Amino acid sequence: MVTAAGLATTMLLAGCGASSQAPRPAPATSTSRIAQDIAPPKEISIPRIGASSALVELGLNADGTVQVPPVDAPMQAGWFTGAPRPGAPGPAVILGHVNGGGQAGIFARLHKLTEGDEVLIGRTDGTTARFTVTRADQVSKKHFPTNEVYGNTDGPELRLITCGGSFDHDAHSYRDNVIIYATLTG
Amino acid sequence: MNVRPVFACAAAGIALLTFGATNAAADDLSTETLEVSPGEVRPGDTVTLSGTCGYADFTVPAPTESGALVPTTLTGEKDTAGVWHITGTTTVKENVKPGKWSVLFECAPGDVGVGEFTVVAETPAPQPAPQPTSPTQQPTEEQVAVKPQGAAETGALEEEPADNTALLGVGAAALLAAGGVGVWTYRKRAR
Repeated sequence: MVTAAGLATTMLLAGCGASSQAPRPAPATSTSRIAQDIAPPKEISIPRIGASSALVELGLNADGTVQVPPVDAPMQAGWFTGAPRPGAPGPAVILGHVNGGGQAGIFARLHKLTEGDEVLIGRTDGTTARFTVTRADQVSKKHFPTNEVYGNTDGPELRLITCGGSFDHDAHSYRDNVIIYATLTG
Repeated sequence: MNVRPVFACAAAGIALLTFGATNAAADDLSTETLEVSPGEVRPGDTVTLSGTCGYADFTVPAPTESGALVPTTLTGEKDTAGVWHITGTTTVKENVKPGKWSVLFECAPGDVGVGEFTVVAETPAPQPAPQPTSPTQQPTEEQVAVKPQGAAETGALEEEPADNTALLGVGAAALLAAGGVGVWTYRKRAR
Protein backbone atom coordinates (compact mmCIF):
# COMPACT_ATOMS: atom_id res chain seq x y z
CA MET A 1 0.00 0.00 0.00
CA VAL A 2 2.79 2.43 0.82
CA THR A 3 4.35 1.69 -2.57
CA ALA A 4 1.07 2.43 -4.31
CA ALA A 5 0.76 5.72 -2.52
CA GLY A 6 4.27 6.68 -3.54
CA LEU A 7 3.48 5.85 -7.16
CA ALA A 8 0.39 7.97 -6.96
CA THR A 9 2.43 10.91 -5.73
CA THR A 10 4.89 10.47 -8.59
CA MET A 11 2.04 10.55 -11.06
CA LEU A 12 0.78 13.78 -9.60
CA LEU A 13 4.15 15.43 -10.02
CA ALA A 14 4.52 14.20 -13.55
CA GLY A 15 1.05 15.45 -14.33
CA CYS A 16 2.17 19.01 -13.76
CA GLY A 17 4.97 18.50 -16.20
CA ALA A 18 7.41 20.23 -13.95
CA SER A 19 9.74 17.43 -13.05
CA SER A 20 9.50 15.16 -16.08
CA GLN A 21 11.61 17.29 -18.38
CA ALA A 22 15.34 17.75 -18.39
CA PRO A 23 15.78 21.49 -18.18
CA ARG A 24 17.96 23.35 -20.60
CA PRO A 25 19.21 26.89 -20.41
CA ALA A 26 16.86 29.59 -21.54
CA PRO A 27 17.86 31.18 -24.82
CA ALA A 28 19.54 34.54 -24.89
CA THR A 29 17.08 37.37 -24.98
CA SER A 30 17.28 40.71 -26.64
CA THR A 31 20.65 42.21 -25.94
CA SER A 32 19.49 45.76 -26.23
CA ARG A 33 21.07 48.16 -23.85
CA ILE A 34 17.72 49.00 -22.33
CA ALA A 35 17.11 45.39 -21.45
CA GLN A 36 20.52 44.95 -19.89
CA ASP A 37 20.22 48.11 -17.87
CA ILE A 38 17.25 46.74 -16.02
CA ALA A 39 17.99 44.56 -13.03
CA PRO A 40 16.58 41.04 -12.87
CA PRO A 41 13.32 40.58 -11.02
CA LYS A 42 13.47 39.27 -7.49
CA GLU A 43 9.92 39.09 -6.23
CA ILE A 44 6.30 39.57 -7.17
CA SER A 45 3.44 41.03 -5.21
CA ILE A 46 -0.20 41.19 -6.25
CA PRO A 47 -2.11 43.09 -3.54
CA ARG A 48 -5.55 42.39 -5.01
CA ILE A 49 -5.27 38.64 -4.37
CA GLY A 50 -2.77 38.75 -1.55
CA ALA A 51 -0.11 36.89 -3.50
CA SER A 52 3.59 37.45 -3.00
CA SER A 53 6.58 35.32 -3.75
CA ALA A 54 10.22 35.40 -4.52
CA LEU A 55 11.01 34.58 -8.13
CA VAL A 56 13.10 31.69 -9.39
CA GLU A 57 14.58 31.57 -12.86
CA LEU A 58 12.81 29.44 -15.44
CA GLY A 59 14.03 28.36 -18.85
CA LEU A 60 12.88 25.84 -21.38
CA ASN A 61 12.36 22.12 -21.05
CA ALA A 62 13.97 19.77 -23.51
CA ASP A 63 10.74 19.60 -25.51
CA GLY A 64 10.62 23.36 -25.87
CA THR A 65 7.89 23.98 -23.32
CA VAL A 66 8.41 26.56 -20.66
CA GLN A 67 9.64 25.42 -17.28
CA VAL A 68 7.47 26.00 -14.24
CA PRO A 69 8.39 26.28 -10.56
CA PRO A 70 8.61 23.01 -8.59
CA VAL A 71 5.09 21.68 -8.17
CA ASP A 72 5.85 20.55 -4.65
CA ALA A 73 6.48 24.19 -3.77
CA PRO A 74 3.29 25.63 -5.25
CA MET A 75 3.65 28.97 -3.54
CA GLN A 76 6.82 29.63 -5.52
CA ALA A 77 6.58 31.82 -8.63
CA GLY A 78 9.22 32.10 -11.32
CA TRP A 79 10.14 34.30 -14.27
CA PHE A 80 11.01 33.08 -17.71
CA THR A 81 14.54 34.24 -18.42
CA GLY A 82 14.05 33.80 -22.17
CA ALA A 83 11.81 36.86 -22.17
CA PRO A 84 12.75 40.46 -21.38
CA ARG A 85 13.17 41.44 -17.78
CA PRO A 86 10.14 43.17 -16.27
CA GLY A 87 10.29 46.82 -17.27
CA ALA A 88 12.25 46.22 -20.48
CA PRO A 89 10.47 46.51 -23.81
CA GLY A 90 8.68 43.28 -24.51
CA PRO A 91 6.61 40.73 -22.69
CA ALA A 92 8.08 39.70 -19.34
CA VAL A 93 6.61 36.37 -18.28
CA ILE A 94 5.98 35.11 -14.75
CA LEU A 95 4.54 31.68 -14.03
CA GLY A 96 3.07 30.16 -10.91
CA HIS A 97 0.99 27.15 -9.96
CA VAL A 98 -2.70 27.26 -9.29
CA ASN A 99 -2.13 24.36 -6.90
CA GLY A 100 0.20 21.49 -6.30
CA GLY A 101 1.27 19.01 -3.68
CA GLY A 102 -2.19 19.05 -2.21
CA GLN A 103 -2.31 22.76 -1.51
CA ALA A 104 -3.23 26.00 -3.20
CA GLY A 105 -0.62 27.66 -5.35
CA ILE A 106 0.69 31.20 -5.54
CA PHE A 107 -1.63 31.93 -8.45
CA ALA A 108 -4.68 30.10 -7.07
CA ARG A 109 -6.69 33.30 -7.33
CA LEU A 110 -5.04 34.77 -10.38
CA HIS A 111 -8.29 34.44 -12.30
CA LYS A 112 -9.82 37.02 -10.00
CA LEU A 113 -7.62 39.80 -11.35
CA THR A 114 -9.38 42.35 -13.50
CA GLU A 115 -8.44 45.36 -15.53
CA GLY A 116 -6.81 48.01 -13.42
CA ASP A 117 -5.38 45.72 -10.75
CA GLU A 118 -1.74 46.23 -9.90
CA VAL A 119 1.17 43.83 -10.04
CA LEU A 120 4.42 44.85 -8.42
CA ILE A 121 7.74 43.39 -9.42
CA GLY A 122 10.68 43.98 -7.10
CA ARG A 123 14.13 43.91 -8.68
CA THR A 124 17.51 42.93 -7.34
CA ASP A 125 18.65 46.55 -7.37
CA GLY A 126 15.85 47.56 -5.03
CA THR A 127 13.67 49.19 -7.65
CA THR A 128 10.07 48.22 -8.26
CA ALA A 129 8.21 47.99 -11.52
CA ARG A 130 4.51 48.67 -11.29
CA PHE A 131 2.27 46.98 -13.84
CA THR A 132 -1.44 47.46 -14.38
CA VAL A 133 -3.64 44.66 -15.60
CA THR A 134 -5.19 45.30 -18.97
CA ARG A 135 -6.74 41.95 -19.71
CA ALA A 136 -7.50 38.57 -18.15
CA ASP A 137 -7.98 35.52 -20.35
CA GLN A 138 -8.70 31.86 -19.80
CA VAL A 139 -7.74 29.85 -22.85
CA SER A 140 -7.60 26.20 -23.79
CA LYS A 141 -4.11 24.77 -23.61
CA LYS A 142 -4.76 23.27 -27.01
CA HIS A 143 -4.95 26.76 -28.43
CA PHE A 144 -2.37 28.55 -26.34
CA PRO A 145 -1.88 32.06 -27.81
CA THR A 146 1.88 31.86 -28.16
CA ASN A 147 2.23 35.02 -30.20
CA GLU A 148 0.00 37.05 -27.94
CA VAL A 149 1.91 35.95 -24.88
CA TYR A 150 5.47 35.92 -26.18
CA GLY A 151 5.21 38.15 -29.26
CA ASN A 152 6.76 41.58 -29.52
CA THR A 153 5.09 44.46 -27.74
CA ASP A 154 5.40 48.20 -28.18
CA GLY A 155 6.50 48.76 -24.62
CA PRO A 156 7.24 46.95 -21.38
CA GLU A 157 4.52 44.47 -20.60
CA LEU A 158 3.95 41.58 -18.25
CA ARG A 159 2.28 38.20 -18.55
CA LEU A 160 1.19 36.13 -15.58
CA ILE A 161 0.39 32.51 -16.35
CA THR A 162 -1.16 29.70 -14.37
CA CYS A 163 -3.49 26.78 -14.92
CA GLY A 164 -7.26 26.96 -14.91
CA GLY A 165 -10.46 25.36 -16.02
CA SER A 166 -11.38 21.73 -15.43
CA PHE A 167 -8.90 18.97 -14.73
CA ASP A 168 -8.20 16.33 -17.33
CA HIS A 169 -7.63 13.18 -15.28
CA ASP A 170 -6.31 11.25 -18.26
CA ALA A 171 -3.73 13.89 -19.09
CA HIS A 172 -3.11 14.73 -15.42
CA SER A 173 -3.33 18.34 -16.39
CA TYR A 174 -5.68 21.29 -16.33
CA ARG A 175 -7.31 21.94 -19.65
CA ASP A 176 -6.85 25.73 -19.63
CA ASN A 177 -4.38 28.42 -18.85
CA VAL A 178 -5.25 31.66 -17.13
CA ILE A 179 -3.26 34.50 -18.64
CA ILE A 180 -3.06 38.02 -17.25
CA TYR A 181 -1.82 40.80 -19.50
CA ALA A 182 -0.43 43.94 -17.89
CA THR A 183 1.51 47.01 -18.95
CA LEU A 184 4.15 49.01 -17.16
CA THR A 185 2.66 52.05 -15.47
CA GLY A 186 5.29 52.99 -12.97
CA MET B 1 15.67 37.83 -114.06
CA ASN B 2 14.63 36.37 -110.75
CA VAL B 3 15.86 38.95 -108.27
CA ARG B 4 14.18 37.87 -105.03
CA PRO B 5 16.17 34.71 -104.40
CA VAL B 6 19.41 36.57 -104.85
CA PHE B 7 18.30 39.32 -102.44
CA ALA B 8 17.13 36.90 -99.86
CA CYS B 9 20.38 34.99 -99.85
CA ALA B 10 22.58 38.03 -99.93
CA ALA B 11 23.27 38.11 -96.25
CA ALA B 12 24.71 34.63 -96.37
CA GLY B 13 26.97 35.33 -99.27
CA ILE B 14 28.16 38.86 -98.94
CA ALA B 15 31.69 38.17 -100.08
CA LEU B 16 30.51 36.36 -103.16
CA LEU B 17 28.02 39.08 -104.01
CA THR B 18 30.56 41.78 -103.39
CA PHE B 19 32.74 40.06 -105.90
CA GLY B 20 29.81 40.08 -108.32
CA ALA B 21 29.13 43.73 -107.61
CA THR B 22 32.65 44.63 -108.54
CA ASN B 23 32.17 43.00 -111.87
CA ALA B 24 28.80 44.66 -112.35
CA ALA B 25 30.22 48.08 -111.48
CA ALA B 26 32.70 47.73 -114.23
CA ASP B 27 29.88 47.02 -116.63
CA ASP B 28 27.12 49.54 -115.81
CA LEU B 29 28.29 51.88 -113.03
CA SER B 30 26.23 50.01 -110.44
CA THR B 31 28.74 50.97 -107.79
CA GLU B 32 27.09 50.87 -104.41
CA THR B 33 27.96 51.83 -100.87
CA LEU B 34 26.11 51.74 -97.59
CA GLU B 35 27.22 53.17 -94.27
CA VAL B 36 25.69 52.82 -90.86
CA SER B 37 25.95 55.61 -88.34
CA PRO B 38 26.81 55.22 -85.58
CA GLY B 39 28.87 52.13 -86.17
CA GLU B 40 28.41 50.90 -82.64
CA VAL B 41 24.86 50.59 -81.38
CA ARG B 42 22.75 49.05 -78.68
CA PRO B 43 19.35 47.43 -78.96
CA GLY B 44 16.71 50.10 -79.49
CA ASP B 45 19.13 52.71 -80.81
CA THR B 46 18.28 54.76 -83.89
CA VAL B 47 20.69 54.45 -86.78
CA THR B 48 21.10 56.38 -90.00
CA LEU B 49 21.80 54.63 -93.25
CA SER B 50 23.38 56.44 -96.18
CA GLY B 51 24.71 55.08 -99.42
CA THR B 52 25.06 55.33 -103.17
CA CYS B 53 24.04 53.30 -106.13
CA GLY B 54 25.16 53.91 -109.68
CA TYR B 55 22.84 51.48 -111.37
CA ALA B 56 20.90 53.26 -114.07
CA ASP B 57 17.63 51.51 -113.37
CA PHE B 58 17.81 51.79 -109.60
CA THR B 59 14.54 52.93 -108.08
CA VAL B 60 13.53 54.32 -104.73
CA PRO B 61 12.29 53.57 -102.15
CA ALA B 62 14.69 50.67 -101.79
CA PRO B 63 14.01 48.22 -98.96
CA THR B 64 16.76 47.22 -96.59
CA GLU B 65 17.39 43.88 -95.01
CA SER B 66 19.22 43.12 -91.78
CA GLY B 67 19.01 40.64 -88.99
CA ALA B 68 19.59 43.36 -86.44
CA LEU B 69 17.70 46.37 -87.81
CA VAL B 70 14.02 47.01 -88.19
CA PRO B 71 13.32 46.92 -91.98
CA THR B 72 13.10 50.34 -93.62
CA THR B 73 13.43 51.92 -97.04
CA LEU B 74 16.08 54.13 -98.53
CA THR B 75 15.16 57.18 -100.56
CA GLY B 76 17.18 59.84 -102.33
CA GLU B 77 18.04 61.52 -105.58
CA LYS B 78 20.21 60.85 -108.54
CA ASP B 79 23.00 63.32 -109.21
CA THR B 80 24.06 64.60 -112.58
CA ALA B 81 26.52 61.75 -112.94
CA GLY B 82 23.69 59.26 -112.65
CA VAL B 83 24.56 58.08 -109.13
CA TRP B 84 21.84 57.73 -106.57
CA HIS B 85 22.48 59.19 -103.10
CA ILE B 86 20.14 57.46 -100.72
CA THR B 87 19.41 57.67 -96.99
CA GLY B 88 17.10 56.20 -94.41
CA THR B 89 16.67 55.76 -90.68
CA THR B 90 15.69 52.81 -88.60
CA THR B 91 16.24 51.29 -85.18
CA VAL B 92 18.16 48.37 -83.78
CA LYS B 93 15.88 45.49 -82.93
CA GLU B 94 15.35 44.66 -79.29
CA ASN B 95 16.95 41.52 -77.90
CA VAL B 96 19.64 41.49 -80.59
CA LYS B 97 22.71 39.60 -79.55
CA PRO B 98 25.89 41.63 -79.34
CA GLY B 99 28.29 41.23 -82.24
CA LYS B 100 28.96 42.31 -85.79
CA TRP B 101 25.94 42.68 -88.04
CA SER B 102 25.25 43.89 -91.57
CA VAL B 103 22.49 45.68 -93.47
CA LEU B 104 22.07 45.64 -97.24
CA PHE B 105 19.98 46.95 -100.06
CA GLU B 106 19.73 45.82 -103.63
CA CYS B 107 21.38 48.34 -105.95
CA ALA B 108 21.11 46.28 -109.10
CA PRO B 109 19.92 42.80 -109.82
CA GLY B 110 22.37 40.54 -108.07
CA ASP B 111 24.26 43.55 -106.76
CA VAL B 112 23.81 44.74 -103.15
CA GLY B 113 25.20 47.50 -101.06
CA VAL B 114 26.31 46.34 -97.62
CA GLY B 115 26.94 48.27 -94.46
CA GLU B 116 28.34 46.84 -91.26
CA PHE B 117 27.91 47.82 -87.68
CA THR B 118 28.45 46.41 -84.21
CA VAL B 119 25.83 45.76 -81.59
CA VAL B 120 27.10 46.01 -78.04
CA ALA B 121 25.44 44.66 -74.96
CA GLU B 122 22.69 46.79 -73.54
CA THR B 123 23.86 48.68 -70.54
CA PRO B 124 22.03 47.40 -67.46
CA ALA B 125 19.73 49.92 -65.93
CA PRO B 126 21.56 51.60 -63.12
CA GLN B 127 20.54 50.05 -59.83
CA PRO B 128 19.68 52.41 -57.07
CA ALA B 129 22.47 52.57 -54.59
CA PRO B 130 21.69 50.69 -51.44
CA GLN B 131 20.24 53.04 -48.95
CA PRO B 132 21.59 52.98 -45.46
CA THR B 133 19.00 51.30 -43.32
CA SER B 134 17.56 53.54 -40.71
CA PRO B 135 16.90 52.11 -37.27
CA THR B 136 13.17 52.04 -37.90
CA GLN B 137 13.64 49.96 -41.05
CA GLN B 138 15.73 47.23 -39.51
CA PRO B 139 14.16 43.81 -39.32
CA THR B 140 12.21 43.53 -36.14
CA GLU B 141 14.19 41.75 -33.48
CA GLU B 142 12.21 39.20 -31.57
CA GLN B 143 11.91 40.30 -27.97
CA VAL B 144 11.53 36.65 -27.00
CA ALA B 145 14.19 34.99 -29.11
CA VAL B 146 12.81 31.47 -28.69
CA LYS B 147 9.16 31.25 -27.87
CA PRO B 148 8.20 28.34 -25.63
CA GLN B 149 6.15 25.62 -27.22
CA GLY B 150 2.55 25.25 -26.17
CA ALA B 151 0.95 25.89 -22.84
CA ALA B 152 2.35 26.11 -19.33
CA GLU B 153 1.76 23.21 -16.95
CA THR B 154 1.17 25.23 -13.83
CA GLY B 155 -1.08 23.08 -11.74
CA ALA B 156 -1.64 19.64 -10.31
CA LEU B 157 -4.92 18.47 -8.91
CA GLU B 158 -4.88 18.00 -5.17
CA GLU B 159 -6.26 14.50 -5.38
CA GLU B 160 -7.22 12.18 -8.15
CA PRO B 161 -9.81 9.41 -7.91
CA ALA B 162 -7.35 6.65 -8.73
CA ASP B 163 -4.90 8.01 -6.23
CA ASN B 164 -7.64 8.36 -3.61
CA THR B 165 -8.17 4.64 -3.76
CA ALA B 166 -4.56 4.03 -2.99
CA LEU B 167 -4.58 6.58 -0.21
CA LEU B 168 -7.76 5.09 1.24
CA GLY B 169 -6.03 1.72 1.27
CA VAL B 170 -3.17 3.18 3.23
CA GLY B 171 -5.61 4.73 5.68
CA ALA B 172 -7.54 1.49 6.06
CA ALA B 173 -4.34 -0.41 6.79
CA ALA B 174 -3.42 2.15 9.41
CA LEU B 175 -6.84 1.85 11.02
CA LEU B 176 -6.63 -1.94 11.03
CA ALA B 177 -3.19 -1.80 12.59
CA ALA B 178 -4.40 0.65 15.24
CA GLY B 179 -7.39 -1.54 15.95
CA GLY B 180 -5.17 -4.58 16.30
CA VAL B 181 -2.92 -2.78 18.73
CA GLY B 182 -5.98 -1.71 20.73
CA VAL B 183 -7.35 -5.26 20.92
CA TRP B 184 -3.94 -6.62 21.89
CA THR B 185 -3.62 -3.97 24.63
CA TYR B 186 -7.15 -4.65 25.91
CA ARG B 187 -6.53 -8.38 26.10
CA LYS B 188 -3.18 -7.87 27.79
CA ARG B 189 -4.80 -5.70 30.46
CA ALA B 190 -7.63 -8.18 30.88
CA ARG B 191 -5.08 -10.86 31.78
